[in-house]
Formats: sequence, structure tokens, C-alpha cells
Amino acid sequence: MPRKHQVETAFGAITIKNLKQLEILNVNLLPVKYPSKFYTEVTDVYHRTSTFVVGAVCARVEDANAEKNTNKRLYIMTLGVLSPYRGHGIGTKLLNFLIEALSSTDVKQIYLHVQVNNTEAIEFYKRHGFEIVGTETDYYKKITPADSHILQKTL
Amino acid sequence: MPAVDKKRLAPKEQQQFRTRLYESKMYKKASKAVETILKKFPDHGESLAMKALIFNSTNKKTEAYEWVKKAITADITSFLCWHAYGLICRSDRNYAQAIKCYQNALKHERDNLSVMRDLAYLQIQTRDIEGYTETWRQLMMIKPEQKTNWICYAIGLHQLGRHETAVAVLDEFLRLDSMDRGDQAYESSELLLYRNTILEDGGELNEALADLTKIDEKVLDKYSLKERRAHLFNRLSRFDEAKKGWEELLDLNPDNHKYHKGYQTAHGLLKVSDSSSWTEEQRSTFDKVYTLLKEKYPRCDAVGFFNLQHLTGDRFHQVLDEYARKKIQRGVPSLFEDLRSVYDDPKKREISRELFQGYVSNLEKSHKFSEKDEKEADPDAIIWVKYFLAQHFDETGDYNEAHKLCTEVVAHTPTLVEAYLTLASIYKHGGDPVKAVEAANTAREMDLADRYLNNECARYQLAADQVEEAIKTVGMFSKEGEEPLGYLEDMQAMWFETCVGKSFLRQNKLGRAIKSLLPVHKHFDDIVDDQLDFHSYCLRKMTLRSYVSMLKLEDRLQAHAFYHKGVKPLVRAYIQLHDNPTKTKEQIEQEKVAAMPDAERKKYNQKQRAAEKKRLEEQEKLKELNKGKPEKKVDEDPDGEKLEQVADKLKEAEKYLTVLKKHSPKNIQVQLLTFEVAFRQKKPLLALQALTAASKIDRQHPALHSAIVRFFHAESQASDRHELVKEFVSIGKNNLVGEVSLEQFTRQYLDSHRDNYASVVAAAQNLALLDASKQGEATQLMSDLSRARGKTDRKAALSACEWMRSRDETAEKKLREEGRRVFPFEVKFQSVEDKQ
Repeated sequence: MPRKHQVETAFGAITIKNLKQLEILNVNLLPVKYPSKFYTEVTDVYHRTSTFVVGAVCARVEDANAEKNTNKRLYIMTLGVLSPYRGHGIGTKLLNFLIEALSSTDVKQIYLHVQVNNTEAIEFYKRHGFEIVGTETDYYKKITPADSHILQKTL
Repeated sequence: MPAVDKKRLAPKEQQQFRTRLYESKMYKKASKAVETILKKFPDHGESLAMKALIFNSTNKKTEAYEWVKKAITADITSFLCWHAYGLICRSDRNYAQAIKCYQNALKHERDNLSVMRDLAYLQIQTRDIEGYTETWRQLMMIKPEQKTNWICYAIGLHQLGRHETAVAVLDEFLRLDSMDRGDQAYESSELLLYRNTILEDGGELNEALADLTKIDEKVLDKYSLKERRAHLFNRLSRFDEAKKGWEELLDLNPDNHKYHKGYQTAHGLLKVSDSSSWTEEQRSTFDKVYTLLKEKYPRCDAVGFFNLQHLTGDRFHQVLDEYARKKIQRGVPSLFEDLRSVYDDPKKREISRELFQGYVSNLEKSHKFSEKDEKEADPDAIIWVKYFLAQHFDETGDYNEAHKLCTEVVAHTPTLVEAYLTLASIYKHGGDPVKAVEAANTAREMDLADRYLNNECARYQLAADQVEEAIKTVGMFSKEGEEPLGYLEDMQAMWFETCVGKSFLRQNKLGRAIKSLLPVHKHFDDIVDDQLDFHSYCLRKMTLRSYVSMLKLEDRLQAHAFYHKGVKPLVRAYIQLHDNPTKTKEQIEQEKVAAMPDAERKKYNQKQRAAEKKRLEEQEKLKELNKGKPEKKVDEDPDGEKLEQVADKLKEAEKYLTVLKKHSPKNIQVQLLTFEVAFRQKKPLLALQALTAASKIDRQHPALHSAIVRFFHAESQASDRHELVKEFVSIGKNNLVGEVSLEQFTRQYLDSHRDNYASVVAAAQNLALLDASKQGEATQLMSDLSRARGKTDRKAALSACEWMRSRDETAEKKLREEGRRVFPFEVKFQSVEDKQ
């Protein structure tokens, strides 16, 4: 639930021409630095108000995996909103964008990793119906705590 | 009879000559036909002329001139030969010569219509308005059924100021051909409106006004009709009717500034552009009128704009508060640009700063613009406010504060592209061009599809003298497969050429600077030349009002800021070149060889000869390889070395100054450059004239003050002056300096400009120039940076350091330290320290 008033926003596509903005966002939002390869592979949507970008989401669909006993599911690689713009419902919009995109597909599960001490994020996902389904020890290599929760939501 | 042979062809060839192959641009076939005729009649003048024209059309200029001269020698009385010569000269832009040729052609065949028309177009192109008018008068007499003849004659008369006759000619024409046919509705409408402007220009205001009612039905451009009516009411001081007219127009488009100015005039606010001289009554009239307009058009930007322009004090504060909030809430990045025009007024500047700083503290406290607000502002409001303030402090020269605010914006919202550009601007003004490039490049990378960001980045690269990198940057948006430089020249991208030139000027690579700046001058010549087609085109389209305003525009074309920006550095480059002439590679080589011992020289020469041979061989090979491929244009003077070797550099400078002075005599930089050139040419009277002109523009300009002292000091020491010159100089001195010594003059200047650091530096250096024993005092004056701020003072401080370097090292070191504190971004204050 947004705690502050809604602000006017719009979606835009990440393209080869504006990747730098995603990179700047991630550097400011995420504890881990992504390699440049990451940026050449993503093509998803970012979220912006009328004149500049305030948040972005990158996700990929993973095929069913018999070994791990999983169905086809969506993995959220990154999702974030610049801190001054949090609480205005923008993160929810980003998440809903993904859920809506999945509604016409056979993908029925969304999951992601969150560092165990990131309470703000865990609260956010729990509010949106995610549950902690597991914890991977030593998931992160360069940051502490290195453990990560796996959060999952079934649509 | 040979004389007849030259003129007459046999019937068969006559037939051949008449085929209109040339006119239909089938040059190959035309060439063949002419050659067959010339085989039989080698002295047939008109065929020779035709051959010349074909050469001309296939871009073989030398041959064209050669053959057209043969043609005229063969048949000097042929109008066609002269016409051909004229056409060739015209295509070569030699209009004076072309006019002579046409006139010769007309001697031999009077009343040839096409030659007369061509002549008239060249006459207006060269602004021989008398000649132009006369040519059309003749054409009108010969062919009165042709409507252009009448109209052009009237245009000529109008330009000559013979308004009454011009109107009479148009009236007679309209009596004969009222152009009532439906397909001529537009032409008729334009002609009537044009006639109406002539009435006004001739001072017949009442008649012009009455005429508008008469032509109402036939005029299609209803806006113009209304505009002219309101405008004429204004001119006739019939303000009540004028007000109604402008109100009607404002209803159609409340954002048109022309309508606002007209409306203000109708309210007796005559000097609309300068409201500082308004009376209290005028102020309150304005306020009342615009309060009503505001109610009527609450969302209109123009109303806000004029309010900000003309309101003062508390009312200004109030209006700005409302205007700014609206723009901030909408996230309009150009807010500061909107307000730049009111920033000339220091009081308004202060009000604006206080208001925005108030926003900052309230937003940081409570997310509200003011404590009284009920609603919270959007989370981005704070960055727009700080972004505005950063630009404010950048503009007012407080780079520390500007930098602090801009960094806060970036920390808050690192994705705001505009903030990086402002950061770049702050670094550049503060004296760190390389950091400026870094910021601008980040902005560019954030949207690689944005040409503006790309250009801005290139501009900052050039300011940092990174010319090669800048060329690469603009290359990303120039045409694929083309050299960016050539492409930009074709596109007349003058900003780029200017910035490249200025960079080379800073680097003291004068040949390359000149090479880059010359095209700016040429582009303007091209624009003037491009008119030529419009003399006939506008008539065909009957866009007479636009045509006449285009003629006026072209007459003052070189007063354009782009011309100034590009050509002033060009003049400076020639002056610098005169002061420090450079040597050619050959000269350097020769000196090197001459200095060698004999044996070594022999060896060296052998080596050189072998290298030359190898080079030639390789060139041959390359030619062989490229055979059949279209020849690539090779730049024979890539570094502008040949340009550097021009014999009289000052004469070149003078050439461009003449154009600048003709179009912008009231520009102080132009006059000061004129002085610099005349001073070096040892022409004291011209120098004095320039100083006098400059003093009428801005008597207090520091560069002018220095120039005056330098000039009269030099004159006082010159011994070879003619008595008459001495007398003029002494009169000039009385005017510019007064009846005091140069030192007293300098001290007076110093006393009245204590607050302005750049002026203090100028005066201090002059004191030392006049009397070397005053060096200590000068140093002391320049060491005080307490009032220095902004770009100009930063540069003055650098020049003060330069000055002290050879005179007082301790003082220089101290000034540098002080400079580092006041101008922390200036790399030149930093680097010396680093070296130590």
C-alpha cells in the first residue's frame, strides 16, 4: 500500500540507446555491481515520470526444470525505485506490470533473491503476496551478509 | 564575305543550332551538335558561345571563359555572345561583370526581354535599386500585358521610397487586371496586402486603414488583416479601437508576443521594451490590464512572461511565486531560461534567489513549497528548485554554491540528464574544462539517440581543446560514410566550425584556426547569394510581403550573432599571426640544412632525394590502384600552413572587420578589434576613430580603458608624426582622456571601478606601463581578490598571474593560492602548485 500520494508516471522501454540510465539506477539502488554483460542482455521496461527515470525492473522467464522440480517461472533480476520516490506506489506499478504481462501466458510463478537483511524489500514483496520459500547460504560473494532469501509468489 | 559567314549559318546548320538541346540540359548531345556546326563554320560566334555555355554547365570554368572570349572576338556585336558571357559570370557570382555583359548585350539587341529580366535580378541582387526600377519600367513599356513587369516596377519604386508612384502603378495594373479569377485568389490577396503596406510606409495611415475595409473581402489572410488594422489604429493613436483589435487577436492566440506588445502600446505603455522608465501610473495601468488578461487566460505563458518582465518589487515576487510553482510542478527544465531575460535586473535576481532558497528550506522541512500549503509537493519538486538555483549561481558567478547544489540534485536523482549538463556548465565557467567534458559525456551516454546531448558534449570537448574527440562525437550523428567535417561544412554547422577555430586559436595553431573559421564567413556569403533565386521565385508565387522583408533581412545579415561569433576570432587569429608570424615547414627545413656541416648536409640531401623518389613511386602506384574509381578530394593544406603564409595579415583582418563594421558599428568588440589592427598598421587616425566610436558605446569597458592608455602613451613617444596628425591626436586625447595626465586618468578610472576586479587589473597594469616604478603598487592592487567573482574576473586573475610571473614571483605564488581559494575549479591555479 502506498503511504504517500500517487505521482504521475509512465512506462518506457530500455533500449540500446538509454542503457546508461539503467546502469546509473542500479549503481544507486543495488548492493552488487552488475557486469557490463548484464546490460547488453536486458531488454525490458523501466519506469519513469514524465521527464526522467526513477525506477526499473528487469526479469526473465525460465523454462521448466525437471532436476529442480520447477515449472516455467519468471525470475526478477532487478527491481528498484530511487529512494526519494519510494512510497508513491511506483514499485507496485512495476510489479503489476510484470504480473499483467504474465496473465496471458502459462507462467504462473514469480521468484527472486533478496539479501536477508533487506527488510524494506522483504516487507514490500510480502505486502504483494510473496513468501519466503527458502534461504541460500553464501549466495552473494562480495557483500555481507552473504545469505539470501528466495521469495516466491504463485499467481 | 567572311564577316557574313561569322553571323550566318547555312540553313541546315541553322536548323541544328535552333534545336533546344542546351535548354533541356542534354549537354552531351548539345556538345555534339555544336561541334558539327563548328567544323563547317569555325568562326561562328554564337556557336562558340554555345560551346562555352556547355563547358560552364559541365563545371569546366576555365574552358568556358576561354571559349566565350573567343566567341566575343569572333562576333562582338552578337547579343547572344554577350548574354552567354553574362551568364557565365553570373554563375561564378561575379555580378558586377555580368551586369556589364548584359548591358552590352542589350546594346546590340534592345528590348530582349529575357536579358532584361536577368539584368534586373542582378541589379536587385547588388542593390542597384535605381537600375532595377528602370529596367522594369522599360519592360513594362515593352510588354504591359505581363503582370510581373508592373509589380516589379512597383517593388522598385517602393524600395526607392517613391510610395505614391508605386501605389499608382499597382492601381493602374489592378484597373487593367483585377485578378478576379478564382485561381488567382491568393495572388490577388497578397498583392492587395502588399499595396496596403506601401500606403503605410508612405505615411498614408488613414488611407491605409480605410483601404483595409475595402479589400476585406478579397484578402484571404484574415489574421494579417486584423493585425494590420490594430497596428494602424495604434499608429493613428486611436487607442480604444486598437485595444479592441488586439483583444480580438489575443482571443485567437494569447501566446503571440506581437499581440501583447501591440496591446501594451494601445494602453500608452509606449516603451514596451524598457519598463524601467515607466511612471507609477503606467505601472498600475499595466498591472490592471494584465490582471484581467490573467483571469481571461489563466494558463497562458505569455501573460506570465510579460508580468515578470514589467512588474517589480512585491508584485514581481508574487507573480514569480505562482509562475515558478506551476513550472516546477510540471517539471519544466527550461524555467531558468524563461527567466534569463529578467536577470539583467539585480533586484529581480535577488528576489528570485530568496524565493527559491525559501522553497528549498520548506521542502526539506515539510515537503511543501511554503508552510501555509496544505498539499505536499511531488518528490521531484526539490530537484527542480535546486536545479534552478544551481543555474542561478552559475549565472551570477558563484561556482562553489552552484556546484554544491547541482551535486545535491545528482545525488537525489542521478537520472536527471539536465543536471549533468548544468554541472558541465559550472565546471567550464569555473575553469575546469576537462571535468566539464566528463559531466557532458555522462549526459550524452544517458541517451545516445539525442542529438542535442551529443552536440553539447562535442561543444564541451572543443572547449577543452579535445578537437579530435569532438569530431568523433559529432561523427556519430553525421551522414554515414562521409567525413564529419565535410558534412558539417555542407550543413553550415557554424557553431562547430566556430568552436573548433576558437580551440585552435587558444592552442596557437593559427593556420588551423583560420582554416576552420573562414567557412563561417563563406556560409554568410552563400546565404546572400542564395537570394538570387528568390527574386524571380517570390514574384511567381506573389509572396511580396515576405519578399520585401527578406530583402531587408539580407541587408543586415552579417549582423547576426553567428557571424560575430565566428569572424571575430578569425580577425584575432590574423592579428596573432601578425604579432608572431610562423615559419613554413620548408623554411624550418632550409634553416636546419643550412646549419649542418658540409659533409652531413650532403648525406642528408641524398637521403631526402631517395625519400622523395620513393614517395613519388608510391603515389604512382596508388594512382594505378585507384584507376577508374572516382577521384577523392585531397586537402592540400590540412594544417592551414598556406593560410598562415598570407603576406599582409593585417589586411586580411581588415577585410573581415570591414564587413563587421558595416553591419555592427555599435558593437564595442568590433571597434576594439578595429583599433588593434589600425594600431599595428601604424595608422593613428584610424585607431583614434575606433577608440572614439568605442567610447560612445561603453566608456567604462576595461579593454577600452587599456586601449586608450596604450594608444596615447605610444603616441606621446612617437617622433615621426606629421603636425596635422599630432593635432588630431591631441584633440582626441582631450575628448577621451580630458585635461589630465594618463596617470591621473588611470587613477580616476581605478577609483570609480574599485568594485570590479577585471577593471582594477586593467588599470593596475596601465599604471605600471606608464611608469615602471609603480610596479609594486600595481602588484598590490591585483593581489586583492576579495571582490573577484565570475568568469571575467577569473580570467583577469589569470592574466594578473601571468603579468606577475616575470616581475614578482612571491606575489604570484600568493595570488595563485588566493585564486585557488576563490576559484577552486580553475585548473591553471592548481597545476602550478602540483608541479611544485
